[in-house]
Amino acid sequence: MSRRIRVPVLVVGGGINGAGIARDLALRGVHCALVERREFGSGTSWASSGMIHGGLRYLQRDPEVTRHSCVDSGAIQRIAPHLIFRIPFVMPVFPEDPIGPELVEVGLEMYDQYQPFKNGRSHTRLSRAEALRLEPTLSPRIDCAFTLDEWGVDAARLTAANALDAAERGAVVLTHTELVEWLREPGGGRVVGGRMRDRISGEVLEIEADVCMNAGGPWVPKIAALAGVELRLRPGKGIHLVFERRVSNLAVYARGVDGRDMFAFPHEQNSMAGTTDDDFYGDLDRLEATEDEVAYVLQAMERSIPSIRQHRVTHTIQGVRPTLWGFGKNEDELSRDYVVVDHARDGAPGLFTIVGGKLAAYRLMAEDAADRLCAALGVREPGRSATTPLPGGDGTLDVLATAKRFRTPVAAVVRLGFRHGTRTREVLADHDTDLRTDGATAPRVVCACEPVLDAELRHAAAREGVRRLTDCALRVRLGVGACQGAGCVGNAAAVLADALDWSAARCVEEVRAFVDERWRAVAPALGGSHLAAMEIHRHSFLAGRGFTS
Amino acid sequence: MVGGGLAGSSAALELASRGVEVTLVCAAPGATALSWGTLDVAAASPLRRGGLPLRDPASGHPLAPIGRVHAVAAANPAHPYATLLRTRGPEDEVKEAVAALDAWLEPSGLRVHGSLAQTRWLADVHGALRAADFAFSGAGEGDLESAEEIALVDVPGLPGFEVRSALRTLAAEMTAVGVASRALSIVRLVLPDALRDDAAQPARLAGRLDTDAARSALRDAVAALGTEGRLLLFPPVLGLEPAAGTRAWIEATAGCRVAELVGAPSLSLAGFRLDRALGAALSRAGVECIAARVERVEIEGIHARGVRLAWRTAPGPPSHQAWRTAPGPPSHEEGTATLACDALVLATGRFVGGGIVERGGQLVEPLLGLPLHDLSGRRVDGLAARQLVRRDYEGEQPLFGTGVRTDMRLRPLGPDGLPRLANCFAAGDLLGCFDPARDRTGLGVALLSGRRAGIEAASC
Repeated sequence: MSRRIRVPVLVVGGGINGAGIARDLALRGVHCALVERREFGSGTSWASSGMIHGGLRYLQRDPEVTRHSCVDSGAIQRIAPHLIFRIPFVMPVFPEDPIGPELVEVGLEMYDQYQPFKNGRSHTRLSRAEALRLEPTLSPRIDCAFTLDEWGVDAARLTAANALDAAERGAVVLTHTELVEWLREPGGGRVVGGRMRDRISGEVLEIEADVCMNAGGPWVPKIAALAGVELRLRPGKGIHLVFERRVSNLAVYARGVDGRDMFAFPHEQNSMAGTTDDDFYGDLDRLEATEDEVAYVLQAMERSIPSIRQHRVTHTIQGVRPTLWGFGKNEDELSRDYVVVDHARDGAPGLFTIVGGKLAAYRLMAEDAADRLCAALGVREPGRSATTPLPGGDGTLDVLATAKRFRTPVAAVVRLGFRHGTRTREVLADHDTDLRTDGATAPRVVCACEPVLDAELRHAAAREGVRRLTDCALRVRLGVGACQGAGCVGNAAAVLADALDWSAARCVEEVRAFVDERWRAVAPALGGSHLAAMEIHRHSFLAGRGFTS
Repeated sequence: MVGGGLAGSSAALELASRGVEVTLVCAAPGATALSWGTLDVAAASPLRRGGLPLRDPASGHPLAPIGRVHAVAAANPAHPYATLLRTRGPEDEVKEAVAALDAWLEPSGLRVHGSLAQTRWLADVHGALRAADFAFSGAGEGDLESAEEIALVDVPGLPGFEVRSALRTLAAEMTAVGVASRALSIVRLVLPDALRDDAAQPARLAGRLDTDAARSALRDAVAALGTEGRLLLFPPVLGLEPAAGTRAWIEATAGCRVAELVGAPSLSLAGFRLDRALGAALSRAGVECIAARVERVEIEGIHARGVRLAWRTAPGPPSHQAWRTAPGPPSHEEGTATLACDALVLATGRFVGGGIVERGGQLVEPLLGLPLHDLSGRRVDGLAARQLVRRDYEGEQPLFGTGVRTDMRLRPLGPDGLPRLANCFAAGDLLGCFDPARDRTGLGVALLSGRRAGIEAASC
């Protein structure tokens, strides 16, 4: 006998689209169920560049996309100031570039008009000497350079914050739960919900809903196919390289051999470089970067930052963009805009799909999609997601006072504050309460790269619904630094085992899954000084901790 | 001697014991300093995939460590053990090498416990069981089967040790493996205020525990942990200086047996203590130690005649290894020098030590450009590292079995399959065709090959 619940809306897919829709609905008082097959944002959202940029590259072809992005970027800054950080860009112009500085400046002047929407500064033109002083890693071959202003975000955290806020406002939010089949009205008519299977416990849950939203990102065709609906995407795979530490002060534009724009940019504790864009029709569940893609990114970056190969690439991240179908265009020219499809005309009334989109405009798209769902439900409540802060986004955190009060290293509180904003004190207070009965001690650093505290892991398990160790790489950036978990994963598993009552065998299984996932991200770009780190990694996990057979 | 880990130190100490004048050049601590308290000649992690069986597949009888040594050599004829143990067999060779190591380390307060005849069950910081053969003072006193009652010592504030999870794992594994069940419990050592802030940094806490001031502050708390028949298992932070005898002090104060859990790289000072004890042994033996990088080997015909050294700061005792007190060449801020030699031993390690590097996308042995061979014996120098990895993390990874090949006398082979130089020897992780992470031969290869390389070099 399976469990059964009833909600007005079922959203399948816990990426930024699904989580954004669930939150938007929750803010209108519409209860929904949000179901994610793995961890929030673990598909495409997490693998994005982690920027809520305005989309300079879309300006020429699709200024509407640029405007959407800039306006919504401003809104995201207001509701989640803690998750956002400014990324100044520098765009070098080389003597051989087909587009000279004057023309580049015309484009940037156009873009400047959109900057106020997202609290961005106008561009500046730098002489060669000025540019090299600001960014010494730049190639001395440049003619001149321009600066422009963008914003970065922890995309996985932004996704989780939306989902968790939805849950706090009454949504049923389930991770590691997959759609087995759609529930249909007799005769294969209206879609009236879905049958779900918990991928950890194996439990089956039936969710009945008035309307259903397929927000599966690159998986939307598969999910639609379960309702007999054919949907076409032009999936584009993109990879980023992640460096051990920051490679440059500023984000640096580069150009691929094929003329595509790329950049290397400081992001949180590291630098990233990317991205690629290639048609992808392979297995979405076993996505790996290829050596070619790694070489392509490095080669592109080398022209702008000649020393790029001296830096240690710790791993790659890879995802597939759910780009709208459009035939015959180059991958890059395909629109990053989105559509909401009502499948009534495809013989599946009650089912909608959201396709496409862009992290920077996620909120706007989610609001639009929620409008469509509300119209179908006859709900008139307007969206409030542009003005209601996300959890922790309702003020500023006094880092020093918090560090002192909870006897926690300042560096750890800074990063904790980045993820939790004003709720940082709650994370630490929970820990304090837990331990008062238990030989009170200050929170301990589990992962030194980020850093991640045991208190945050405990909080993630107890209050944020983290269910697997692998979730923590996204949720709190556990084990994604230089050592790729060699120094922390065993202990992190132990903390979660305590919090989630895992058996010894389960604990080892969780470590193994985590390490396998890291290795798949490390192997394609492995080389140079990272070899020593990975030799230690292997000793830690094989000779050291080992795995259950 | 190039390289100051266990392999290089063993070679140097063996040479010195034969009256040979030895200079050891070492750029930085290597993998030995990251080791975690056991000397694995052929260890096993029960309940784990890969590695060596605990039982004889045919008879079902438990395999003593000696059986696992034979199994390693039999499973992989290219394994360094196949060469090292061919003439004398492991019983004598290992016994002699371990006895020599014990004698070298003993004046520093570090002993080597164990034997090849019997598996000793140790627990690590995660509570996982280790089937060990030999272990150093610290972990070495932690034989689970000889205890009536076992208590894990929680040190609040110390990162990297989750005591409840460790206890749960240990209980489950002891049952699964059939180690006779003991009473298991957790006891807590609450640090006095003076030490509490040190706990966040294990190395700092360990250093404090070596001092009289910390001990007098801790005395009552430590005394309260002891009960007759109890084995107290501490996280591996009992001291930085082996000669300070912190573990023995705790044992005397608590009035019961005390040992450390086998460590993990993030939390173990056992490797650090081993490194220090080796440095002290080198110093006692009169081995000159120089902190410098070897730029190149000076060659004349088929003989190494010297090494060209380069240093950035003043040469002399490595600054991070202040116990290595032998004077270096005349002090300069930056400079080079040539050391002449009659024989050369390379114990430069694998990737951690820098014995093998990837330059311009190609794997190379940087000193002599020696041919490299992967786990299966394939020639791999000139290939990129990522061409030698496989997606199955736990499976065979050709990259991590990469190293040089040698003749029976441990002389690395050149491209023609003959010894590259008549008087150059290789030891330790630089040797190819074995993957210590997977076959759990750990420091055993370093000790056996280091000693053998020393004996061979002495004959030059």
